[in-house]
Amino acid sequence: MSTDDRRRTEILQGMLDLVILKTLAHEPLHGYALVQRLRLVSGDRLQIPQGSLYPALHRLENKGFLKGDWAPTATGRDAKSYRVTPKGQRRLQEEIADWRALSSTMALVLGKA
Amino acid sequence: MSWLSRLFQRDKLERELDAELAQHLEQHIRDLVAAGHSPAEARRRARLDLGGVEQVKEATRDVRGTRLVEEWWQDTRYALRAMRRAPGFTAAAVLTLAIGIGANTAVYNVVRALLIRALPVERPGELALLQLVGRDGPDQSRFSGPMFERFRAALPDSHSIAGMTSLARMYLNEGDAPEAIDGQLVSGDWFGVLGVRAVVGRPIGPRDDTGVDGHPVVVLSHEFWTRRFGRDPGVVGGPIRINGVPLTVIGVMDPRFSGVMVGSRTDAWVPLSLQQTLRYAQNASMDNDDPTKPWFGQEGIRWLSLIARVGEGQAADRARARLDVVFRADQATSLVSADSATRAFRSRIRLGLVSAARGMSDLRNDFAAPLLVLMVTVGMVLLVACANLASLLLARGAARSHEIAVRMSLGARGGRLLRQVLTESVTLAGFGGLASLLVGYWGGAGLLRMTATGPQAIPLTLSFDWGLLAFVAGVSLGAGVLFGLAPALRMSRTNLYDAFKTGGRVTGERRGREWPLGRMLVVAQVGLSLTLVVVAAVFVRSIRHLLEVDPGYDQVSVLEARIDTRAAGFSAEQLPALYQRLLDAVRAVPGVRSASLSVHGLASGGATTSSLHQRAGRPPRVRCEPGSGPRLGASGHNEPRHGRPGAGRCPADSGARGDRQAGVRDVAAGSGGDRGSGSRAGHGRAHGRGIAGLAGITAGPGDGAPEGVADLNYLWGHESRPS
Repeated sequence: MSTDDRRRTEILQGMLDLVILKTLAHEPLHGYALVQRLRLVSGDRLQIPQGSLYPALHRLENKGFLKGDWAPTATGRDAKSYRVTPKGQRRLQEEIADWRALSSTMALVLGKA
Repeated sequence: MSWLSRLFQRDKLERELDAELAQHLEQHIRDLVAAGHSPAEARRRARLDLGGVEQVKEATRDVRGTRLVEEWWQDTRYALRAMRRAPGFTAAAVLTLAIGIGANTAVYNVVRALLIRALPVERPGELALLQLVGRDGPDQSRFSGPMFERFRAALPDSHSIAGMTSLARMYLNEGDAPEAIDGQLVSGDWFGVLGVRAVVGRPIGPRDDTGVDGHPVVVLSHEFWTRRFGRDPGVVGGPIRINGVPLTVIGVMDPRFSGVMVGSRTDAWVPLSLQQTLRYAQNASMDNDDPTKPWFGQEGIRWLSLIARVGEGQAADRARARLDVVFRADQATSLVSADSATRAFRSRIRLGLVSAARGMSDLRNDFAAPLLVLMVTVGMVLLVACANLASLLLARGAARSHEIAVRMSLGARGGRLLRQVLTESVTLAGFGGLASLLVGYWGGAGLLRMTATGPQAIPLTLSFDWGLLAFVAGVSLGAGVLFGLAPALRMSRTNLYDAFKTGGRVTGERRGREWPLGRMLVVAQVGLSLTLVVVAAVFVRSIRHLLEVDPGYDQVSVLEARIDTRAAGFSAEQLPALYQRLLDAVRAVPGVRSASLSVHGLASGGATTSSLHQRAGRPPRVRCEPGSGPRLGASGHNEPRHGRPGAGRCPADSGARGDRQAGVRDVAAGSGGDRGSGSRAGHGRAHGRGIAGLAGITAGPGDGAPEGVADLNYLWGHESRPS
């Protein structure tokens, strides 16, 4: 793993909650589908480390931001799909606001530099 | 899903996690195969992308936040299995702990009941007892009725101070024979000041305590109501006879309230106004008084303990200041006519307030220090028990080093192993703690029985409540950690190389050098044990000393009986003749060499004292305080004390040497007794029939002893029968 890759992964982990909530706010998905959707949306630029996906999903579920339901998929197998709860929606708005504030601050700082 | 349900639905969560990851892999593999990979390659890549199924599972389990508890439960189950595998060790350890912790539980429970627990009254912290500070001798802070009234007037709220007498032996005349009960005379505000309620009827109120003998009422304790009347509600409202006087039962008090005398049982309360009717005449200091008249109005008879609700902090200080003004004025008045010696003696006395939150207790004065010594001693017993167990566990730990080494090489960290070993010892201690509850229960009751001098246990309520359970849990946990720490530390530092090299055999030969824990334990054990042995030896010595105390009379062949003329219904006029008849009858018994009467019994703890002036003009002192020793009062019959007539002293209390002294305690009527050679000593007109036991002096009759004051005892000697 190169230095660049590692840095990108670390940033991703910090943003993981936001990315997951935003994606699932669109429509409920199960874990694997979520990975595919993200890859699609970001044009392959965002790659979620699958190893940290499930801990993140479960953590958000335990906090009450997500709700997991078991339902059959197209292939007929049961899969656990996650949807964002109202509490999760509020959290998402907060995270988005935080992110915007942070990125504008960063832009300011970087612009000056 | 809440934390608790995550904890208890662990299996379901595990199954779901398995299914979720399986579904993820399956779909990924299908996509990879569809993209042209071989099934084997697809499987490999899918697993690689996921980053290891077990690692993902572990990381997911971590976010549940239940790991600590789960591991604790794992450790506990492991500990239980280990305990089952070694039943002998487990039984020995649990027994050791049960005794160690149980002894602590028992003593702590008594300490709590006697020294710590607050009275079951309203805001006990606000209550204070009025006390005279600066006197010699035991505390006898008693006040006269008029003083009580003046204190009451000085306080802003006149219902915040109340008076009471000491506990008095009274007689319930309800069956064939009079039954002895313990009653207390209290002022009308007493229950109000304490803030205790009646469960049936009402308590004594201010209106019950007016005039003299105006309101013949009585309030029963719940315990007495239960014990004597089987909680018969019909008793309330009806009359019962006490000391021959019919009194109306107006109420039964709250079951939790058994009086303010901790360690004594109060059966009944009556108003102070009944003092004369019930012929209460105990525990009073008198000065130019007339004890045959009602006491309450007399300045010279100090017979009341005063309890006041003074509040806390500044409020208490203000109350004290107000009361002090009254007290100083009283002092000044009473000292005007006193001689210089008395003045010097009395002017040192000040008024103090002591907290009455925990009630009053003679037991507390007597046993506070011994109980704390006992607490420390049983604490040391527990420490010894812990040291023993630690050595045992160390030995077992050495045998288990191979098992530990295996677990460490499988990836168990030192901290985790430490936790596991500690869990084992704490689990063991938990069982010990459970068993100790039994030991504590019997031990506490046994302690009260052993300490009591009579056949009855000390009536101290020992409760098994959450507070005590918390104490047991705390001590158990502490003990578990204590005796588990050394073996745990040692185990968690097991040297893998050594453990495997010896193929599971004990690495004993290196232990001595590398781990001085074992040696330290032995040193601690020996030290603690030695201390305990020394304490025990000192204890035995003290008991031997007590047994060897010379009471000043020949204890062999002396029998004592106490008679109660009042309960039997004799009038004062009949007594001189009665006493003479009794004496004659006893003397007529074959084998009786001589017989005699005395005011107080041998080693009865009772006393009548007077102040003595010495010629040198030193301040008067009370020489023999109540309870300070056996009283010899052979009034006129010196013979019985074969030994040394007139051995005048206050011997140390030799306790109840009462095996051979049977009898009924008396509060006799009349100033009877032998008119004998009793030389009067001192100026103690008081109600003093002299100073029994002080140089064998007993005053004659007719010196103002009130009806109902005199105690009378029989003392007679038997010939020793040749065996």
